[in-house]
Amino acid sequence: MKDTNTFKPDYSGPVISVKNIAKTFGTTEVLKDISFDVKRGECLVILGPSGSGKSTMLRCLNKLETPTSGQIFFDGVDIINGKFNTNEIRAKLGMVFQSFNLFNNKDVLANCTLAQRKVLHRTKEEAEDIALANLERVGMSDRIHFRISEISGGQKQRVAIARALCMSPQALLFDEPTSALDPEMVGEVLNVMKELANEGMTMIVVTHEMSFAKEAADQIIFLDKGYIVDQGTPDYIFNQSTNERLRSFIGTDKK
Amino acid sequence: MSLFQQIGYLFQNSWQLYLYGIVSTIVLSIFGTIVGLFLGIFLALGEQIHVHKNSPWYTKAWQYLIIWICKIYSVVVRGTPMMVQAMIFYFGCLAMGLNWNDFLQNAKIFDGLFFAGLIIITFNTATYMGEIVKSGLNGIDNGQSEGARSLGMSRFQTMFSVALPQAIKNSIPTIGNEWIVNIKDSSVLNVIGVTELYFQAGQASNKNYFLVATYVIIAAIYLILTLLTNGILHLAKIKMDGKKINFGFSHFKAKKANA
Repeated sequence: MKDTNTFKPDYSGPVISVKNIAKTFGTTEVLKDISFDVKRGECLVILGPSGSGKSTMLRCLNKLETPTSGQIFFDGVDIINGKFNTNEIRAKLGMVFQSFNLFNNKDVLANCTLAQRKVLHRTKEEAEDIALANLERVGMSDRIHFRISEISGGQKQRVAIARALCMSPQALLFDEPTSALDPEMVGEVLNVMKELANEGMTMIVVTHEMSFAKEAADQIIFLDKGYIVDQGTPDYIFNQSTNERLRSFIGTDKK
Repeated sequence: MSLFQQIGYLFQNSWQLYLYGIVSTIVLSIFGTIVGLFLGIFLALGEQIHVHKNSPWYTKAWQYLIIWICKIYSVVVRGTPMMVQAMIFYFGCLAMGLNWNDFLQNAKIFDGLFFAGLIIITFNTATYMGEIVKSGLNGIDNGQSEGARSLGMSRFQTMFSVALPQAIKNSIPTIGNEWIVNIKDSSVLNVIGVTELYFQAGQASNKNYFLVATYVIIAAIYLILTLLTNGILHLAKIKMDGKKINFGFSHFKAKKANA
């Protein structure tokens, strides 16, 4: 068991591998028998109607929720049953939330440096350099000393992405990152996400943005009522699938 | 003598007593509020210890012990008058052979009894502060903690870097209110002979029996103290909102600049 306590950076299998996970809240079954793999550099998009368990599944991946049964492998290591420091896993799996969840008591720069200093024990200068580089990457380097209440929703979400990137994560999880934004802001956030996907960041994205799924996804999973109803490439999902539930959800059944 | 003459007489002859009383009351209220806040934070955190279901039994045992000690302490102290607590503390210490009156007997303000008073007001305020901090923490959106935890920060780091600073900032009006309450409530410490304002007023009046004048004076002093405190809290609030403090002089400055 000893060798499972360290991550293997040269591991070449899937970054995240989910095997038969199920999750119940009380008597409500939210997830049933979910399995999928995400390879390094791949962008997985999870589609599905509200209440289908998309967010719960994403939250299981970095242990904000614990699945009732099943296994999740991160870099080939079982993170559900293995004896792990949960915080170590979370530091390697960045998460971006629908409601941003930026720290309201810090400014933009401090939001990006706080966890670097506390978790990765970087020095102040090092953390600030990394934060500035990542804020530059999302186009927010001109607002570093703004308070969170002083920037718009789209800017908040871009800062949240930069904050997650600062931890040099192995993969990024996006939980409906654009659902709380107006169409213009959606565009600016999606552009950042598309760039990240093109640069080879491993991403799992829960979204209702079909255009993003079509353009950026390598693989799409369609969830309904806790099951994976269909999965495949964007071309398969949007053009070839004959699944009725999927077709009615994405609106291709009327043609 | 008319009431005003009596007030004048008291000021002339006993101003020192009043002054000592004012200093004593201010120190009691400020110390009680600030140290009480720190203790209150520990009380609130103690009551909300996260007991992990996979911890070994002895860890769970002491965690539950701390939780229950904090809860019982808070309920008992908030459920009894501070005057009664002061008596129990003072005479309890006396029964155990510790007489607070023996220390620093010659001090004008900060005598042994004063320190007994400090202890009582601090431990009393801590329970109310604990409730304030607890409700402050409840008011913080869960997403704040989730954001921090998702970055790999521990429960402890999340609490002290993210949740608690926000909870305390939001609670500052309530904490300030507790300060004002303490200015007034420190008067009950006269029962054990702490030389605060109310006690000193009694000292000032016991030679001349100008009772109405005596208590009108301290009522005015208490009012001035609480109004000043209110002013300070108001300035603190403006400062925390990130605005510049304006004492009303900017109008003059603008005129000067024009001329």
